[in-house]
Amino acid sequence: MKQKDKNIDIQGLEKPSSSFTSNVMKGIDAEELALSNIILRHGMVSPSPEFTAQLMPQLIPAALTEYKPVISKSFWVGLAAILVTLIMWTLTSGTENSNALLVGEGLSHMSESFVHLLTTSTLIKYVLISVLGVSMLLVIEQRFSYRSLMA
Amino acid sequence: LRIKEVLDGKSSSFTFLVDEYKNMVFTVCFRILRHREDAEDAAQNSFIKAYNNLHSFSGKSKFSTWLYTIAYRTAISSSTLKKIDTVDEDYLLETADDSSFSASKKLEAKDQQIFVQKAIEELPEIDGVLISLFYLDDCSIHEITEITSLNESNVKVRLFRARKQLKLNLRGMLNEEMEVLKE
Repeated sequence: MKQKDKNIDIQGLEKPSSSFTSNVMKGIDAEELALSNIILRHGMVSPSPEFTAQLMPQLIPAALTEYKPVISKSFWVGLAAILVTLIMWTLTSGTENSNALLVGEGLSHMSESFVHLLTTSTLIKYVLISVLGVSMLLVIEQRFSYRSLMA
Repeated sequence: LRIKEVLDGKSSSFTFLVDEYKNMVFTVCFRILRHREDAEDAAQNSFIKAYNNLHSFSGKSKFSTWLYTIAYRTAISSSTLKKIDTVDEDYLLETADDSSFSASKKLEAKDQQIFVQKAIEELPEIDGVLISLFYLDDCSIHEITEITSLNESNVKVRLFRARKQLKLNLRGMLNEEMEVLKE
């Protein structure tokens, strides 16, 4: 009995025209398009005409925050001069002293190549210490200058 | 290109970016703050923040998305710092009968502008931002989620609700517009 009622209900439904869904969607689309047009035309608010002119001077101090080195150029020149002097001194006086020392202690039987190796290793030691020192200075320089730029 | 020029030290190129995006940045701020002077301050702060942090812009998203995110957050933080209970009286239409707009009542362009602005201001602040981003800047849902940090379903629901409310508020104008579109 129930099944029969149900069949009657389904059969009793009126069907809309075949273009019903597309007509509904057209209406929704038209409304959506109209809303979009209205908001596009009137939805934007503009700042005052002086906005850019007022903003740019506030940026200029930041723009002019030039990269200012923490360690001055003259310091680097001086450091380079000291390094060159040190290397030259090690190369020249180091060889003489080693020779004198070796001769004085009766070690003249040692070959010249060994003396040369000794002086070279001293030089390498100085160079390595210098490179390490300069690297540390460069790291300090970079970190501090970056912070001052961000501030 | 402009961004690269600014990063290369040509700060004057930033003027072009300001001019290109100032309206939308200001609109985002205004939707949240609802006060012209506060919105202008927030918009200026947004550009200053963007300028100072331009090196951190990775280019993964659009520049506009990145900039509007800054503007949105700046405005939100300004609005929580002080309670906003004022409405920009000068900006709103002084006529008392705005809500009774009908198709027969032809509004002048300026009045229409104010009427639409008022309709958007009747929405919750964040919904106003969503509507502005969606319609004025053609932002995708994904971009809006990036800017507002809301989840996708929340954005969709808010947008749907806001659109429905706007259609109600602007019924007369919508009918007129639809008639124009039919012609």
